[in-house]
Amino acid sequence: MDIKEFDEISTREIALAKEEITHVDNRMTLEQFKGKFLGKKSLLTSLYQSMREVPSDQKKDFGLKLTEMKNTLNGLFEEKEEEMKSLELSRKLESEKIDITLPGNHKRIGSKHPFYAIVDEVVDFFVGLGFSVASGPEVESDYNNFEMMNIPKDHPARDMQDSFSIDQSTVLRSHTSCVQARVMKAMAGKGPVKVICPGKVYRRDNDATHSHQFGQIEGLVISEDCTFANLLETLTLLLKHLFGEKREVRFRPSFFPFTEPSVEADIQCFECNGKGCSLCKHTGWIEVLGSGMVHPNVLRLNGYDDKKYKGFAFGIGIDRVAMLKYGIDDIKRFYTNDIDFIEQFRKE
Amino acid sequence: MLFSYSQLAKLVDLKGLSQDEVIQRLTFSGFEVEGVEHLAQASKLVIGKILTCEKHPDSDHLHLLTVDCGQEGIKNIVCGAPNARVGIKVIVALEGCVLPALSTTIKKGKVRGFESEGMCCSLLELGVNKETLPASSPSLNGIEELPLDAPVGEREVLSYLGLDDVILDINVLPNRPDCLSYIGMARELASLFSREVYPLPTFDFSSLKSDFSVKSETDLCPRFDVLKISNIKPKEETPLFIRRVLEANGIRSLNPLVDIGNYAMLLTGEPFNIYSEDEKKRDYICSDAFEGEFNTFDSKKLSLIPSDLVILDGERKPLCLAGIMAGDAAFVTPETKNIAVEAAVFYHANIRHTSARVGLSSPSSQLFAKGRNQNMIPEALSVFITLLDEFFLSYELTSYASDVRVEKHNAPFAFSYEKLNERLGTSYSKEEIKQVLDAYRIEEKDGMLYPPLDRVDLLEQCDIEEEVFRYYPAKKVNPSLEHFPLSQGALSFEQKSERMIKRLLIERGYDEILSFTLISEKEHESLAVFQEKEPYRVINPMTKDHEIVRSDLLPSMLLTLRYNLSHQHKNLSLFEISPVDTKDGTKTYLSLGLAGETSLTEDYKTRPFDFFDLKGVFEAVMEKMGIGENRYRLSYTKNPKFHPKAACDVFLGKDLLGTFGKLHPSVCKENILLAEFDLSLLFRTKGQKTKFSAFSSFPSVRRDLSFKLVPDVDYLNFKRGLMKGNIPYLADILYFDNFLDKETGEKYLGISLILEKPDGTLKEEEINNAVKTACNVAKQRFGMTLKGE
Repeated sequence: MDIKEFDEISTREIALAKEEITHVDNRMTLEQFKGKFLGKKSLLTSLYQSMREVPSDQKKDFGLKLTEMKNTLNGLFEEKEEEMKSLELSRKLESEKIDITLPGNHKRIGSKHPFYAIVDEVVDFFVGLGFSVASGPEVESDYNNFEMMNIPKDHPARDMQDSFSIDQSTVLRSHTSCVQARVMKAMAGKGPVKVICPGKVYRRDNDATHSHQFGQIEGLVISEDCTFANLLETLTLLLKHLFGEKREVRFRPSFFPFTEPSVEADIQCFECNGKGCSLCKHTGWIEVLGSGMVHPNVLRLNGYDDKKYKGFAFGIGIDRVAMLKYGIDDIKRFYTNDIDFIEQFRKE
Repeated sequence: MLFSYSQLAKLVDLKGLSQDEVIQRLTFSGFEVEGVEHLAQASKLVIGKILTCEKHPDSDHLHLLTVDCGQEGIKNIVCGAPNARVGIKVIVALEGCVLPALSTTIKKGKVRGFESEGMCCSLLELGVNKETLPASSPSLNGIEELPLDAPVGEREVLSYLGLDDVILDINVLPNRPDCLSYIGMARELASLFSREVYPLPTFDFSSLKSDFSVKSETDLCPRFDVLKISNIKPKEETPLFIRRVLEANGIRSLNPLVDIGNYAMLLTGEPFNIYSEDEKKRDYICSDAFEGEFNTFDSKKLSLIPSDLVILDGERKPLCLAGIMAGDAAFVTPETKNIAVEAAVFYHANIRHTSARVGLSSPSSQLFAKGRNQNMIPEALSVFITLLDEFFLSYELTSYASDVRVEKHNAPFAFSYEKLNERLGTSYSKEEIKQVLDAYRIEEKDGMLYPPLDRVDLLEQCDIEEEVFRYYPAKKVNPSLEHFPLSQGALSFEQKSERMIKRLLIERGYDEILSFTLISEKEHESLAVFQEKEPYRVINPMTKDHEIVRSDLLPSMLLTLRYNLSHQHKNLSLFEISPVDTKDGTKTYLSLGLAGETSLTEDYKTRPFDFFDLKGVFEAVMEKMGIGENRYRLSYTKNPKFHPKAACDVFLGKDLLGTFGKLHPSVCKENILLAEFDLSLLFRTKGQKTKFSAFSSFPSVRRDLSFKLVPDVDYLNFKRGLMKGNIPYLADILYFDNFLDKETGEKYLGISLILEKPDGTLKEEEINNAVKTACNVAKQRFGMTLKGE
């Protein structure tokens, strides 16, 4: 066999292989193809065996030609094998298809009570401003609850119909201001004081818009040179934090026994954005907060030198803020604890 | 308090100011205007005279009228009022008239075939409050009948009727008792608008003789004045403009003698009591020592005790429950000819307490309860005297006596302009501040301020600061944090831990609840973990449902679970963290409640909640607090309200940390699990600090073994026994299951041995040896053998 003959044989074999590979469509026929063209009984193998008979000066040319033929046949096989592997893989993946719209596996998450959602939000705000958080008993001496807050014995607020009494000198606190009396006592006439006191308070109120138990957060600042302007800024920041940057805040003079001057803060109505509606009684504004400069009498009563120290104080109703912020219709919902109610605050 | 705008405008010059301006200014100076109400409202009215009146042929109650309306012409009106008749003068609402009280606009139209060009009105249809009309008013049963001299064709009908007024509901705060009067409010308006109060009368009381005695026997009545007037001849009726003011304030006009007292009280803020002296002339005594029966003018019997203030006559017979209610002894009637007028100040707290005790209240008692100013009594009596001509055709001022038992003066106080700006953080000029002092008639002399007589609330520097803030717009104070003290803000360990626990519970599916502190006796006795000898009890509860200060959170938790179970919620996991006040102090407790089923993470299947759901949460909390399981001890609960074999008490040392598990079937038949823990105790217990320790980098080996359980051996004992059994390479023991062989009825406990070699990989023989040792320990110490052995 000379080179020319070999070329002819090789070309024929390759043409045959190319023809047959097109009929290969599974593992078995692929293996048959491999045996026929690359296996022991293949023409290729027999050609390799006949290399012995090739004269040595032609061996090199034959060798090259043979390798070329082998690569071509092998290439046909590998290309097909690769094609088949990828086909099989995609079939496998297809069989593993899942319904991605089914719900995820996760345990139900609980909800904060909206009352505490507001407490946490206000506490976080004030901690950021450098305040600490104080607490005190709810069964409180009438002295801390009233006397120290400039509400003397004969003041109307001290009549039995307004607060719950435990005995002659003990009440269920009617505001959280009594915690301030405790803080001031602990500070022994020294400043600065920056504290907020969140908690439950109790009054003998019994109508549609009041609950005998509700929540308050009161704040107290005492230092040598804090100002009324500081108070207004603190409250403005707080109200914008709670109700949104764009919500307008305004201040109105008011009266409380423990502060002078006293001021109430209103925010622009949510429902009507200030145009006037039934929620804001057609004023465009909703009252949210009472505050003022600590009355010098309160400072003196609580062991502070009112010539040296100044202070401001404020109080905000937790339930009221939650009702406004979340649009809750009835304060009684807070204390009924219906799961349909509580679940709505999962995000808070 | 309600104020008639037109009456205010008679006391202070409000010319050129709109009602809106006045309302805004008041609201932003601390007098919130909470309501604005028109006495009557209608747009197109005219006074008419009925010329003819015939019955409507198709109706048993309608009339066909022709009404002369002056230059408006003669109108045909179909009218249903029974009192419509020829000759009376009426209020006609013409076409286009808007009547807000009826929410309607009058239109021309046909009524049962006859044209009607308007409507004859009653006062109620103009919006007049029914309560203020006298019983004889024709408006109550038909159309209003105007006086015979009413000008036909007059268009300003509301003004003619004195009904063109606006009533302001002004919230007068407790520090301004002076403004609970028209004169006081007029003074405030004068200050706010730099206007003048029209001159008020003064009267020289020394010109009257003093032929009787007036005495206060108690400091609770610091001043007591009586003015005697004789031979009075009242007018037929109280003048219309005064009746309108009384109506505006919700007071029904009765007769001149009653009306003068009420009107003078509205103007001056001083309640007057009027005694009849027709029977005899008297001396007057105010006492707080009277004890015994007292009959009110309307024959109610009261029994009075010392500390009730009473007005007595010279023979110490009671005439009046001071400041609250007149008695039957000297009560005035419309025919009374000789009167004694009392003007006094009674201590607010006593009036309040007596009023509440006897259950009687009056406009006077309400005023006295807010504190009256004794220095304004002469002015009030002077005003009373000038009003006499409005009510009486003739009278004689007879005599006057006064007892000022306690002198009270407004004390001057030091004031500094700089300190005002310092405390407010403002920059008001001296002139601006001075303007406020002048507006409020506060005199300044040698650095001291002298407030006027009528202001009892100006006592020190801060009160002036308030006046300045009130006077100028709030915007004059520029909010800023300049001078705001710097400090570090942080939550305490307890506050942080409480938050951590809340977060953990919420992430595990627990909903937070907030329940009432005050509970009923029955709830209190229903169950508790933390037993208290005697809880706090409220002595003045509003209802029996809320009378005990709870000493434990579980009654509320059980109530909340049951409420939700009865409202279509089957699966519940709830928690509450709350302070609890007991006679031992304040503690913070955590309560947990489970009912129904838990959702599992796989296959969307559920199973009933059980003890281990609570235990898992408890263990997670303890892990987060850094308190290992060797620090606490569980034992079957001794609490009789819990299931004795499916609930446990947890102890930290000797102290009860809490109880959790199933309730005793006698307490609760539903599948409800409860837990309660003393967080105060937990937070006092020191947790382990986080510290790194080296760990083996060689793989550990796990071998699962199932042992046949014998009675009285529990998992924890078994585990601890093995851990102490010198088993080579044993690092830990884990639980993997409890198994019941249904054929043999035998129980098996499945555990995993975790074996580790710190310096290399375990060889098979080392592992086998360890397993063998473990089996030996189990057999020798506990008598437990491997499954199948």
